[in-house]
Amino acid sequence: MTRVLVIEDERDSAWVIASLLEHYDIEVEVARNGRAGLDRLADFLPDVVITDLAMPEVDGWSVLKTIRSNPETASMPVIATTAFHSPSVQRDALEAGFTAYYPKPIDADMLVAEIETMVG
Amino acid sequence: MLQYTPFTVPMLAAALLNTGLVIAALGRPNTRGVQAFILMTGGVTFWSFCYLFHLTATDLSAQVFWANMQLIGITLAPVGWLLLALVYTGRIERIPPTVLLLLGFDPIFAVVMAFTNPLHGLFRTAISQRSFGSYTIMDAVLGPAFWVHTAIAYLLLLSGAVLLIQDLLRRPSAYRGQILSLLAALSAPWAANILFLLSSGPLSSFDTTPIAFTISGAALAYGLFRYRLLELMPVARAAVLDSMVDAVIVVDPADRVVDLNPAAAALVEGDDVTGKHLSTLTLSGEQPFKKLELTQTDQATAVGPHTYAISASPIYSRQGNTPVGRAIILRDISQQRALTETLREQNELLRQANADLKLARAEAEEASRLKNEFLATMSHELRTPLNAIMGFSQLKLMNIGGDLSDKHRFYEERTMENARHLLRLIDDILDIAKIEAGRLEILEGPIDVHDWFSEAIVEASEAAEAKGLRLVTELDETLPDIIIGDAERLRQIADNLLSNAVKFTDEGEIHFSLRRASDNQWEMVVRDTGVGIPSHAQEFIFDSFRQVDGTIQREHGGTGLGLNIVRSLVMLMRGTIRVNSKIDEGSTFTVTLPLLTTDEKVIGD
Repeated sequence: MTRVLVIEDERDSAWVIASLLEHYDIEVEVARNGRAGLDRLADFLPDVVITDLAMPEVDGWSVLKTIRSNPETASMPVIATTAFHSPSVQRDALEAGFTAYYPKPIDADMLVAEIETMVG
Repeated sequence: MLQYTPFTVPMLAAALLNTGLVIAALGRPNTRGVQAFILMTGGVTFWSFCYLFHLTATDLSAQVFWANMQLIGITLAPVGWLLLALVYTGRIERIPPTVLLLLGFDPIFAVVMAFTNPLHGLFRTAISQRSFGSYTIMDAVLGPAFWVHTAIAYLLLLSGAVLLIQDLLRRPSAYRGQILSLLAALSAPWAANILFLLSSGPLSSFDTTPIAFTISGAALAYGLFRYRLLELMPVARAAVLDSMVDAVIVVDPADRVVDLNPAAAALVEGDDVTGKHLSTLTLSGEQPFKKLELTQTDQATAVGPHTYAISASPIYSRQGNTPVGRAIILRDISQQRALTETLREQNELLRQANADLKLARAEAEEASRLKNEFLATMSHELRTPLNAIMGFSQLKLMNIGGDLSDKHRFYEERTMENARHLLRLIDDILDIAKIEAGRLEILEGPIDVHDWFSEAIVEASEAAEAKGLRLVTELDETLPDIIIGDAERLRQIADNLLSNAVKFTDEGEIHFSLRRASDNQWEMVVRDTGVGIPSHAQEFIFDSFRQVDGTIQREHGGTGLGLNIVRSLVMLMRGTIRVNSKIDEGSTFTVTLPLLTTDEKVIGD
């Protein structure tokens, strides 16, 4: 079963993504901030991480940096989501090393399809 | 017959010396007063030569002829002398030319009377010859006409002398040498002439005046070369000083007043301050009187409403290295002062205005920044709950919470549709805010024209189909496969124009094409067969929140921001947009953009 770690500080957004993924038989764990998400990595061992970009303290960019800097998790797919979409944010996200970028509201079908190819 | 007299050699010397003076003066034709000097020395020269010939001749008629001829020189010399004095003392300008013509009376009178003497005997009542050993000279009893002429000549000589003596007393010592040399030149022949006329001289039959003029010539030469008599006419300086607006007070080394110009005289209290010590002078302002430390120079001082800058410069004589005095110069700098003050005030005002402007600008910029920040934050904050609404709605539509009834599904679809509209509105507002803040970026990259084109028409073809319209598309094959541009913003432009076309067209077709406009331009054209835009409205359709009228807006929906954003995007892409429309026939929007291909991009970078 595919495991996805969702790092999202906004409760309703977290619920929506979790429900959506669970609907496609994906095991989801939600972390409510960047630090908690990084703490869960070692135990949960997700196949894919979905993180919000704008969060207090440890934001999505820091989460990516930490994941990429650890050799054990460096190649892990990390998907960025944001409600604050703009073309330049999208470009920056992909340049920073995010595997994919989804502006909110998330296109569920595409997201699930992409996760499946990532886990493949 | 010619004879040699004891006077021949001295007279020849005098004649030659005076000739030299004339030549020297002729060499300085531009010097002030030189004409008068030439008239005087020329007269003496002529006189000397004529007298020389007169003495050399033995024949009485020749002697009389040369005696008469020499009168031309005798009468012209005093005229030149007086003119020179007038020029030298600066009075020549004040004498009308007609009065100056009177100076010509004596030369004409004396010469005419002398040559016509045989007719009336008024000039010489008797003429005889006397022999002195080896030579014979003319002896004449002088008549009334001669005395008239002599009186006039003396009057002229005396006038000039008085003028010079007057001037001598007023001049600073630096010029005294000049005047003394002039007076020396005058007094020698004068004395000699008086001696001759009183006939009490050792040689009463000889007129020693021309000989004495040798002394004159020497004195004048001295004045000419030593004191640069003609070149440095003090009158030029006097005139400058007299007409100066600046007050000039000349003091001797002991700081006693030697001279002052009219401007200074008007400024200094008291009628005659010559000889007074500088420190005792009081300047008269209008009110109040102020005692001035004139001894302190290089200062500015206020006298009444006036401000004077005081400076002092040492005066050197031609000979010495030690100053013979100082010139204290008071320059009225009230106007400059006032001007400077006004300038300073205006500068201050300007500076203030600038500061205000800067502040206002900063405030305006801050307000604008806050507004844009507010809009950005707002759209973000609005989007978060909206995302949740759309997310939950999506979950419901996916039957994740259980199967929906048809009615519930319909309600949910309407919810989703309205949420999407709201989201687009928020996006548009955010774009407008970014455009106004100048923060909307165009992210250029290579675009696969075919891919872009087929993606761009998906939504429009669905919308057109839903309204029963035909979407005709056309992609110019001469366009390069890859062009450089901002794919997403170009998509935004196409979406806006296409959705407008669908929105305002009820029947007919929508035409969408990309084509090459020229070597370096390409065009996106959206044409419809819709309601059209009245010509008066074509100007403002690109403004925010403006549609042709409110009714249409309510009927057709839309944010009213689309075309404004489109125009801004096109401008940011260095392109143009134009509209061509006729009521009930349809509209054509043409976006023209610079055509950049990958190669050019590489070169450009």
